[in-house]
Amino acid sequence: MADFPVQFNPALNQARLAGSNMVFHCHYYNCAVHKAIEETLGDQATGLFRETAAAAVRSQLRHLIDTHDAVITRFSKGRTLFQQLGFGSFDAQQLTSAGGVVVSNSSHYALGWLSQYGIRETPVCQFIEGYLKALVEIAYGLAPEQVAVRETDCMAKGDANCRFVVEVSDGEDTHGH
Amino acid sequence: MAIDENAVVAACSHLPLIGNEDGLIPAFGLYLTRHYADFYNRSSFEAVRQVEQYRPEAILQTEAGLIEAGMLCAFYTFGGIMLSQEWEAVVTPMIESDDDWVYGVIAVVNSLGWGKWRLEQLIPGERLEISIANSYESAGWIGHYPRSQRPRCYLAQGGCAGIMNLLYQGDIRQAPALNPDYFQEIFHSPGSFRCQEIACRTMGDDMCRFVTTRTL
Repeated sequence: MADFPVQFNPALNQARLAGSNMVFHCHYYNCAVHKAIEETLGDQATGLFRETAAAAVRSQLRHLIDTHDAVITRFSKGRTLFQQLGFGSFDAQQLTSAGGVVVSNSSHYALGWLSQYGIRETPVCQFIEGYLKALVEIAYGLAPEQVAVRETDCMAKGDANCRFVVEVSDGEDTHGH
Repeated sequence: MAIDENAVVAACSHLPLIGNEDGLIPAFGLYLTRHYADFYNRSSFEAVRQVEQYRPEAILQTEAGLIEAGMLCAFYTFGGIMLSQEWEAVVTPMIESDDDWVYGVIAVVNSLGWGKWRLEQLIPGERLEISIANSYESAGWIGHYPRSQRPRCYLAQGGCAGIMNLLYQGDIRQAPALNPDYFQEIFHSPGSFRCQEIACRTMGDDMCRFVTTRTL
């Protein structure tokens, strides 16, 4: 049973979750699109993936996360949704309102890239960067420009896990946690 | 046509496809995600629009990369589904003719959240015409961008070609191994099927229409 049920409309063959259209895609498609856009845009692709992911996730999390939830509950919801949708898992225990590190031992994109194309030289989990950026913004009540997330280690590069450094520009926790 | 599409959609849309303890969805021989339509729409369209603006000579190559991704999706996902126990349990009992494989896989596609696919014409081994009243790709364009001069449903183009290549350039009914060699053999060889989107809602048409035929 999913914690966040997706509503399927058989009249339109559309699936919606908290105001967002959701579509099934496999790792072959996800990684092939990633590769196609990287080949088209070069270095600019990373920023595009990160920002489009953050925008999509931010919009949905605003519906799912209650402003009265404690920070720990907000992160729990964000992590549960992430796992439910098949993106992998992550541990955000080293994260505070001042920033920190998030570690993932299971990343759909890293595992998918490895199985399809093998080791690469640069991180591939820009979608997760965007997801974490949106989650940190909403969990701590921060503006988008205050949060930056960069993947430093990536299993698709051959690293032991994927590590994401979260930087918060002023470090203030507007919710008093 | 013996396929009860409503029954197939109902069965597939209730499959428990949610992440396991590692947050992964292993199914049909691959890993699935239940992804944000907006993410792929905006990523793809922004990339294509940058090419149109700054390197228009590269537009066909860029679109080909996105359509290739759709063909890979069709090969592994549609192919994996047609080889699955779920297909055996839900669709196989309804199949009366070879053509029903096409109706069956389109019924499955209609459970993926991609909009309402409708088979308009099938000439086995020659031609497939599909319409989509509400493709999620066209929906992602409309509202964000001005009326397009080009069709924009790249995934659907790859998907339509994939259906024909799996069934009439290869033969998924013989349960082949789905690997890169077989993909190359049936998608990139003389006579492989390619799809043209001949109408698109992003261009002002009432629905998106796709015609799939063999390459010369």
